[in-house]
Amino acid sequence: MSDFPSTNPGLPPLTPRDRAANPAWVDRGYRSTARRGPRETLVAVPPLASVVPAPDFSDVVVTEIDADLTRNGRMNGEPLGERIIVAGRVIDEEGRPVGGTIIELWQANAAGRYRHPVDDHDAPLDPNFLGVGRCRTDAEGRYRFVTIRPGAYPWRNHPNAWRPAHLHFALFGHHFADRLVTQMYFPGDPLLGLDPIFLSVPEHARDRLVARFDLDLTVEGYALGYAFDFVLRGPAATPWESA
Amino acid sequence: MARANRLGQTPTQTVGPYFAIGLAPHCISLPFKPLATEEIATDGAEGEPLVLTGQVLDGDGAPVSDALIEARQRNARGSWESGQGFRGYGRAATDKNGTFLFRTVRPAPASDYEAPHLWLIVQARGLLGPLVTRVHFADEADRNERDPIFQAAPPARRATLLAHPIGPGRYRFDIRLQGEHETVFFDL
Repeated sequence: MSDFPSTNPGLPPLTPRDRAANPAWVDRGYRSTARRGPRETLVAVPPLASVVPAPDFSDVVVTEIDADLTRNGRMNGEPLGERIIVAGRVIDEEGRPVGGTIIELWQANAAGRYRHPVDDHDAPLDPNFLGVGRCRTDAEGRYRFVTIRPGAYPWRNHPNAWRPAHLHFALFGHHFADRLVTQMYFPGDPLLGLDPIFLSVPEHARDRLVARFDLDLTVEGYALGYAFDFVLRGPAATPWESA
Repeated sequence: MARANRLGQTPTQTVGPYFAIGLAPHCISLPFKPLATEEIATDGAEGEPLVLTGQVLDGDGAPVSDALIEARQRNARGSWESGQGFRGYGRAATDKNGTFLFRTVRPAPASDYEAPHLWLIVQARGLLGPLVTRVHFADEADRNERDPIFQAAPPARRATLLAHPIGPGRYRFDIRLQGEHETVFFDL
């Protein structure tokens, strides 16, 4: 069955990444890809090559305040802007929960400015907002962040270019190869149709990156709620299943 | 096809130029505890100390100063198990010269069928998804010849997967995103 032994019998091989639902490496609209995206075809490997476990973060303590960006950067007051809740589940292609995985979040503040030395956008930093958070999914794959709705900001990709408001997320499933770094957008944003990074995703899969306003996640008198699920790759069919 | 009802995978997007806020806050002195650093293993870990360094270069040969490299490897006994100073996973952001550096111990292979190696995931502004490659050691030619992943690469491009010794316990592995000698990236 295999051409080399696996030392992780508990970890099944992964289904392939769905390249048809992902951006091309070189994208005509997103200028930086021109000299950075690889031109050679990715090299195919045996399915068992995917059986590399995700990093072990079992000893990492994740606290409630790590997932609350309105509190984890406070110096002398509350961060400015519109408070929001972003919550959902991490599941695989077959709908099974991915529990115990860490989700990392980073973002601009309400004015569209990042707390990063490279960001020179003429918009104020917020002394009470770092723009970073972390959360671990529960057994059902659920996560929940409290944060500030980020502002749009200009970039130099083309004349009068603006990024739509977005949150950056990074997570692993159970496999190292299941790395997912993505961006979540907000429904109804007029900048979505003008943004080469969002538009780099093939049209049929774009709505997977747009959160849904959710009144059930909305907390009365406190914050609007947005629902967003992450769908990771699933276990590959084993030879006897496909036979 | 018994599996027609699969959910659609979430597409990837670029890490962008500001990923350090979330993924390497210590690199920009942000007061938030990093989940991982360039230390795949610390001084106390069992095994032969190893420094892996290199440059990330674009299609013009220019350094990529805003790349994130993630590394995953087996320990000195050939196991994925972490503990006793061994994490098996590290992250390094490139500096203004496009240089990254990991501190670790030399990995052992799991079996006679494979060569010692580290898996790397490369991300950057201008990369719309994760690029996966593998570091093999130039001084393990016999084992590399038996390794099924190394052998999956076209013969003419295999040299891009080799780290070369540059000093005691130090190896260099450059990553060329594009152009002549483009690094082999795997569809993983």
